[in-house]
Amino acid sequence: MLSEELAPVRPLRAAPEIADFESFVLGAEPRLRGALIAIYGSDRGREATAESLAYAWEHWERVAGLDNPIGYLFRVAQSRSRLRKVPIIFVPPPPSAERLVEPGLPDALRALSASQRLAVVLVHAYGWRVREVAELTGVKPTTVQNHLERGLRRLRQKLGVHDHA
Amino acid sequence: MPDLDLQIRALIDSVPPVTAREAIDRSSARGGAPGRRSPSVRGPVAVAASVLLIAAAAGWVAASGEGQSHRHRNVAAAPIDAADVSDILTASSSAMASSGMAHVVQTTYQNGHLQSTDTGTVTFDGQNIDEHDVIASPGSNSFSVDDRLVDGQFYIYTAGPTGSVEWIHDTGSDSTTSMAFPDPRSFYAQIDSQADFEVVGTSTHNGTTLSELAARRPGAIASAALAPLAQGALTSFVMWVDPDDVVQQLTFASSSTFEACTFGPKDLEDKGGVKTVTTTPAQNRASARCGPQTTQQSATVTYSGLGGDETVVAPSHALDVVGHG
Repeated sequence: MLSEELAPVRPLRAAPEIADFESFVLGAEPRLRGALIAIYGSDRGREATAESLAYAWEHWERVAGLDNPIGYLFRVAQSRSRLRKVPIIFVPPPPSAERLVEPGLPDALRALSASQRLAVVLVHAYGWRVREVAELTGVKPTTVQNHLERGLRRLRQKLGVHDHA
Repeated sequence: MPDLDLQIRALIDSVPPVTAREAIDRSSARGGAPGRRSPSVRGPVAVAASVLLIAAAAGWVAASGEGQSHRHRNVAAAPIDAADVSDILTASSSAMASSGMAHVVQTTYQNGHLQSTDTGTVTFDGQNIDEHDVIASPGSNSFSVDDRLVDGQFYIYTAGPTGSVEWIHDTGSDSTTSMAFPDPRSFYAQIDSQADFEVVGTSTHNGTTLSELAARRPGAIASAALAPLAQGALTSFVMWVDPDDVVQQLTFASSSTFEACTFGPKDLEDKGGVKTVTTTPAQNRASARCGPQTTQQSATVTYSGLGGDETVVAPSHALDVVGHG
């Protein structure tokens, strides 16, 4: 039996609550991580993702009841990301047959504005709807579409490639 | 080459996912609890996590990127402006105002030969400071220095008047100049926007990203305030800053050259038991050798336990002595 000194200082979470959170993370994390890496780069984007999910755990009761928890956590991550001075860096994966990446892609992505990167990554690469990105960022869908088109044009110019939009 | 969308996905998906367990652990490490927001509260758990973080950081600097640390160099360094430097000073001063620790490692080379290595731990509690320093030199036994500054009074653990090693309370007016290290908070306080800092990379330690900021003009930083860890002109000054703009580690190096002479027996005259360099007759100075001596110093200061529960109090028993330090 634990002594009084060693007893937990706060009640442990109930197992069903942890299970709910784990289930939420499984669904929300890839979308959140994709959006935050698009804006902040590999390391900082992951850091922002982890930070926002830790926040979600701390405020689980509120987050679980939201209509748009990913949009909410996206804004939490932005407000809590204090690494504004850190350069945006995309770390390329190790070369493999399945994951071949043009060497110039990280720098070309970095050259886009954050809004353009977000639209290009989420809509073009991950298949989000323009409306979903608009809901995430709180802007009009036409604005997202504009960012997408300009971003793709600039990215292709940088890479010298032609792709199907 | 795959289509552009596949390449972008490959780039993004290569970053490991964040698991629910990682998020929960991160929250627990900073004392986060259900229904309350507490990221800025630094409890004992956070202090312990900080110590681990800094230990990893120190190891990383020494081992060039091993363990759980990841370091990335960006292609183009990003300059930061005076406002950013001011933010770092403000945040670091606030974080270190109450208490914390600094682990200091310093090496001194003379003409390319290692002269000494100092490894010290400085604990600060308000204006009170406790220092433990181990000094090692090639070919000699290492020795340690322990001293303490409490309420403006200087204490040193050394051989007292009776010959036994004990805590001495040095009541001399200039006793505090005998501290092994200055207040470690004075090191980061020397950063100056004139040094043209730029972000040259990032490193990740246990999930926290630190920005690496290097001075393009280290000579603009006042090296005198870094003594005895630096002398002469600074040749480098790099700091690692956490997401809250708090300096977690800094390294700096200095170099100084001066004219020095080594004398042989013929150059020395015994005056009342004291060997003195003689000036006459001139022929006796034939074995003196003069030339430039270059001293190069480098130091790493790693902060930890900021805002923790470290306390520094006066030794329970100390012998009052004037001018021992």
